Amino acid sequence: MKLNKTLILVPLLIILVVSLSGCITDGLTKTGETFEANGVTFQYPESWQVVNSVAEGSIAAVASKENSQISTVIQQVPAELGTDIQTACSNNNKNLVKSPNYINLQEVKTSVNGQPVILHRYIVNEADGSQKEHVATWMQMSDGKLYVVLFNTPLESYEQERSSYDLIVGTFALQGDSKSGNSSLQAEIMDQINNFFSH
Amino acid sequence: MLGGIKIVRESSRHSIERKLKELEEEKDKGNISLEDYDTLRIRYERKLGNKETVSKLQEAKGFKPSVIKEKKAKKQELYDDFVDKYSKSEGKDYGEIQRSNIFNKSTKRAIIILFILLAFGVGILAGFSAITSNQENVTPNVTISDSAFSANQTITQQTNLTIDTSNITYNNTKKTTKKKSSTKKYSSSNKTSSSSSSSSSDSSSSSSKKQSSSSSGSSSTSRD
Repeated sequence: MKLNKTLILVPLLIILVVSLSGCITDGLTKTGETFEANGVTFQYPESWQVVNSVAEGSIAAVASKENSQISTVIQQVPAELGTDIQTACSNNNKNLVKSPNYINLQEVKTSVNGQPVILHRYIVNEADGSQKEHVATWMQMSDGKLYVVLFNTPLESYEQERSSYDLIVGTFALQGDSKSGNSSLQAEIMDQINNFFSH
Repeated sequence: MLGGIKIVRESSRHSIERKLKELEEEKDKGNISLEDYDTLRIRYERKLGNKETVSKLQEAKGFKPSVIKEKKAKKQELYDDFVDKYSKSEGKDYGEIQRSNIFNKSTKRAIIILFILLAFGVGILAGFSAITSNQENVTPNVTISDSAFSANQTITQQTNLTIDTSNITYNNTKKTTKKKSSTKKYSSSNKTSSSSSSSSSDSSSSSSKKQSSSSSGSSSTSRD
């Protein structure tokens, strides 16, 4: 009878362990909500929500539920800016510097798995006298298209909300890539961002 | 009772023989008289004789003591067979028996439990996916306009708009001057036109401010 019970308990335990591990990987390691639309996917904090964006080429936008001034927009770079990340970013910067309200903080050009990534951090003086900090991550994805993940936050809440942006950029992937597994690239981007912020 | 010896109606040859032995012993000890002894001996011998006759008759009819023995032997054999069979099943590998039992009952139970668990799992997953899909579909009426791109096109468009406005102002001035006298009309129109140009420059400066703020990725968040 003892052996009989063990033989029933063993498969039950296996099922329990497997289902628990599933919960752990999906529940505990999952740090937020998942956005999956317009061919891209990423995770964002639970305290954030999907919002509309009127920005040019925007394919996704999420903002803090508490303060919609804190947001992240994912835009597809228009072809007229350039076909490679370097050209597109420098062309965009030419226009940015024309603005007296633009204050450049930092720009880092790096490559991840042979793919160019540009991290650009700057401040913009708003019309109402406030200041907003932006971090734009320019990257070229496996579909050959250029994407910008733009983080927008009031200057005072930048440090507090930085981790949210890390999460979004770190998990950003094309829907096809995310299924086939692009975690190493994501991890490397995360490292680059962390290095960038730590300077 | 006869001479202290119990006379029992016993049918077996063995018991009669035993009684005869006892009778002899009693006679030797002197417990019974010779008369009693003779009477009892004759009785027992008769009984014994009857028994022998009966057995002879039985044998003649086919009832042999060997048959009884055979029956007993058969019974014994059957019993032995039964014991053997039992001992064989007892001697079987215990694991084998367990396995055969499991495939009958426990496996069924386990399979049923598995199916129930799977059904629960699938149900829970479906529920979660339904909830998440619903959550994703519900987009709040918050619109953000932050952009990473500073478009040159916006500048040109806004400049054009300024020029157009100045033109309109100029025309309006013309219309106003029409009401005045012809000599004064010219000078005043000039004045107005100059003032209009200044106002146009003002408007252009204000538009350039707008552009600068939009070009640098500034935003306005609106709730519909």
